[in-house]
Amino acid sequence: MATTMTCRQLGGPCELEHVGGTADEIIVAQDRHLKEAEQAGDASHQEAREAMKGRWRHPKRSLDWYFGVKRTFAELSED
Amino acid sequence: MTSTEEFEAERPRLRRLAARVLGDPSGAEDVVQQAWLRLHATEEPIANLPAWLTTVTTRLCLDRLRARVPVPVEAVEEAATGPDPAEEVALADFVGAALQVVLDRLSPAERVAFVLHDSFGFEFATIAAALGTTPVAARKLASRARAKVRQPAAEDRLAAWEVVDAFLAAARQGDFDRLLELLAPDAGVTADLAAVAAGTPARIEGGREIATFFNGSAHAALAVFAGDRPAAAWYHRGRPAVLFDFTVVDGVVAHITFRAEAASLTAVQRRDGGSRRARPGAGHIGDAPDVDPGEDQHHDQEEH
Repeated sequence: MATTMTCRQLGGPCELEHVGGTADEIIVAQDRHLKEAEQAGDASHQEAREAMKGRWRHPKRSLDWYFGVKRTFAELSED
Repeated sequence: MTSTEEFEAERPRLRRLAARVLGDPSGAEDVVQQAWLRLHATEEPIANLPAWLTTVTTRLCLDRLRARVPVPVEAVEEAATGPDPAEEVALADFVGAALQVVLDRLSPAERVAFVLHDSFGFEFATIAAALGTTPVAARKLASRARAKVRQPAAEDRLAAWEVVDAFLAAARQGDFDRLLELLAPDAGVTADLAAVAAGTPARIEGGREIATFFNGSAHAALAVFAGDRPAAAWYHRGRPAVLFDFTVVDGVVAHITFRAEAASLTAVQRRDGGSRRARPGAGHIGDAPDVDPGEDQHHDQEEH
């Protein structure tokens, strides 16, 4: 069953909806969205983009965020 | 000067040559003695005795090497010309044990081509005559031998877990050159969907690109086994969250797969060097810190 999460729910500034069967799919879609926003020169997404980019370097914080998104996804899926 | 006197003048050189090729001083004596017998058995006029003796001695060595080691017969081409006069020989009078170990990795023909050219300075035309092949083929044999000699011996290669740990250490220390040494030139990185979502790159191609990516990072990765393979992992609340699954081939990293799918993490177990941690249940809650303390040292670094 597909679940919807917005860019804002994933730490971004807008209400763009990502639909996916797993939290991983939605996060990857958000990553793609942030990259596209950056390439388009959209400064409002830059902070979220930087946070996403920095996750490789900061696994403690990024994994907290990652598992938080998974929990939110699981809760939304149950609704 | 009689042929016997000429032979005796050549004997020390022939003995050194045979000893280097065979790696066996007593075998070298036998070979030189056989060359002496051949000299007295031949009825053909010999225009250049040193060259003739070099060819005969080399071929006798080759016969011995081929009898000693069951290696595939070299595909050699027909010699374009007959035996050439020997060139001036650069004598080498020391057979290092280390060199001998290296030579043992070579096929007989490679060994002869390598020793005669690189140690004794023979021209490839002379080596080709001794091997019954062409100078081009002799050059290829020596080149192949040289490449093999440069490679570390299997017994000298690091164990897979040592390669993984050396890689992680080099990454943490920002030792780019060491990372390059530990990566196959055509190495690759891939990741499953969950790992990408957790923050890893989806794909990196090429040893240099991978070294660039890891350079100065991996502070938070802990040493683990993934099944039987040495690997590394990020931990979150005592559980493995992202596995760095290494494929090590011939002492270098050939591939790294980032895995975060749950099924990939079930067989993850902490290790100390090449040993599993004794405590049962490793890889579960309480087994490991979330990340190592070095993580925060890199907050200001750029992402690769």
